[in-house]
Amino acid sequence: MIYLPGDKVDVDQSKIDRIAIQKRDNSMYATVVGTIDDRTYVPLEIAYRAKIGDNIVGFVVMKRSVGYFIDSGTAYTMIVLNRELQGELRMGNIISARISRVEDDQTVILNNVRRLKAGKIVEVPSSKVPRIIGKDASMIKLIKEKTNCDLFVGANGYVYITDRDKNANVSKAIAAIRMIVRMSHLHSLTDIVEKFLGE
Amino acid sequence: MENDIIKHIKRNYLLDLLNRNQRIDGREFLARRPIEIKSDVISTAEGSALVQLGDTQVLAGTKFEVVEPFPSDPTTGVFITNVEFLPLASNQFEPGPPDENSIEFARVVDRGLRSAELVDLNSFYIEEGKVLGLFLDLYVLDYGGNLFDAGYLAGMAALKSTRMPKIEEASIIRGEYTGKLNINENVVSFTFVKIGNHILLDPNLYEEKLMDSRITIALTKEHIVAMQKGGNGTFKKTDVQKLVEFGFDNYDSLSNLLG
Amino acid sequence: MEKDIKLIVDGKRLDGRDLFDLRKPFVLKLGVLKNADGSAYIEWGKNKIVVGVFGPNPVFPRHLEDPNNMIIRCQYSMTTFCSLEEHGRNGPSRRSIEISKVIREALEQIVLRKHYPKTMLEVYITVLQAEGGTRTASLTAAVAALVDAGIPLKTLAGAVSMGKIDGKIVADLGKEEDNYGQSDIPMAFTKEGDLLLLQMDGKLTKQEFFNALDKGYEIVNKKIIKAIRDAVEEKYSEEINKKLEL
Repeated sequence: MIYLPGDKVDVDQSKIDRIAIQKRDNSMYATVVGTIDDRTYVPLEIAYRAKIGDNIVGFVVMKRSVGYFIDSGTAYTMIVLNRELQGELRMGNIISARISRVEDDQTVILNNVRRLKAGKIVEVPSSKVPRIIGKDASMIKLIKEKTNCDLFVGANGYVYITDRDKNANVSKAIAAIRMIVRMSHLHSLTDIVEKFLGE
Repeated sequence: MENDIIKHIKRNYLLDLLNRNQRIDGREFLARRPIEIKSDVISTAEGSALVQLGDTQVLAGTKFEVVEPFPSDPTTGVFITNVEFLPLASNQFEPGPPDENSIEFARVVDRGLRSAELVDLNSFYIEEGKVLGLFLDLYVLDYGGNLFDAGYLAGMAALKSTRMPKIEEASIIRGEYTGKLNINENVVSFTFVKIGNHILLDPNLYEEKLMDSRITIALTKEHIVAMQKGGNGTFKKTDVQKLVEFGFDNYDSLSNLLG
Repeated sequence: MEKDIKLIVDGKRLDGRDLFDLRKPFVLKLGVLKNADGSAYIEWGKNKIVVGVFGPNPVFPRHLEDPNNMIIRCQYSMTTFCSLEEHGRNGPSRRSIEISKVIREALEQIVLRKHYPKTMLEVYITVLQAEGGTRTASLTAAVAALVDAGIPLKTLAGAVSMGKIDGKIVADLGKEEDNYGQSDIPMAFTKEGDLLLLQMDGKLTKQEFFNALDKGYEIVNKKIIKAIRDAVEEKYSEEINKKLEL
């Protein structure tokens, strides 16, 4: 069942996404298209909004006296402050990081910065990220196991993929991710992906 | 944050793939993306066509007006091509008057169609001081790279579907038609980009944004009718010769799509 | 203008419709553009309109930024060949600037702008083919495009042009009805009945207007908003790989 903006939804109060759900007169309403799974609202399309704790994947694109500016493919300016780093970053480095703060002017400050070794970046809509990770990270674990790749999924929609060993199949991992994006609304998605990866 | 640094990063990624003989979408270097042409899609226009070339979508429409001829050619009709890069086609397109890219595009498509003498403009004479003006308007609806080839196909298909308006007392009677516009052959175009040492046919969006240079060649069966080089890099003379040969060799495959 | 054209004969309009029938076809499709963050294509009667939206994105130029909200930029435009009459001009006309404004103001009421402060939402509407009622069709398609883009909305909304012809209130004016009729009343409502857009020209009594308003809301709720819902369901019932089908 697909819910649309303005539809009343019955979801667990403790698990509300404050953008996808709006509380009005003691009832809860969807604000974006989605489905309900296990009393949690699952948006099928939602424009990305940075929040503390989000894991991000991005590229280093500018160096300033304060630190490094990161391209995340979003409208946000994301910065790694110099003091958060051990060592240096170079232009073009791929990093994973965590959002530690969102300033009033919407600048995002990152910490827990890790430089990632050379790999591929697949861009997906940020709304599909939960599907790619899966319940209890089940989907991402499946892809990692079956393709021998390391994956890191940024909430901003950049998915980093690299080979873990000689048997790694990066193209298959990419294909699986694209498949998830296209079929994100199907309940049987895990089975479909498992079947595809088994081939 | 689309800036030179991001371009630099993504370009290295693309070049790396090309050096291993791979394009980002898996195509051969001289392979085109799938093309779909739908004619007669706008009934308010005299002729129209929607072309989908990969992710690029271009809509063309033709309209007739009674206009004054140019003073230097008082008995010849007028043919004008205009292009709008619609802001809904790409975040890179700002609303407002045409920029240098959209003007270049309009003029290149116009040149090819005009040089091929597709339309007998002498048959557009109505009476003294009045001729038919044929307006071809192209709208970019979705920018996925290679607007030139999509534009030529859309322009050609729109012209081929164009109905001649009924004229009474030197005025057009809207909604009534007298047969089709006579188009005597097909113009098709081939656009290539050069990235490093690699030459690719029908660039997609990434290839076009990261290219060094680009060349468009417009052909009829026997003649070259327009050429345009764009971008920063250079082509070798021998490369260009090979590309022209390729164009003539593959003319039919594109021309047949137009019918 | 012919004053003795009969627009209603035996309860039927010129094209055979009943008083409150919408024109056909009425087709709405989501996700028809690859680049735009969200898009929709509507065919309503002979109207063919495409909408693309982008955002949230940084504001350009910077000084237009709102520290508390996402701002909305909306532009309605028409192709030069969209009308059966003469070849039009590219570039905004006074009419299209006004329409851009009223559509933007309608959208500002349903978009939850506070979630994306200091950003901008761009809504671009292009009328490919026109047959009267383009602003109501455009607004409906714009709402659908916002849903497609995942922009959080308070609720759904839709629009319809009510009118008065031959002394009777009717829904969804066609071109001749607009030209020869007595009043044209474009209106847009949310699902809950809040008015987002209202314009009117011509001459109406109070009662006629109230009838039009009531009937207009009923039609928006039962037919127009339902069409948006159906279009969303259709999008997810197949693989997401749709293109424009004119």
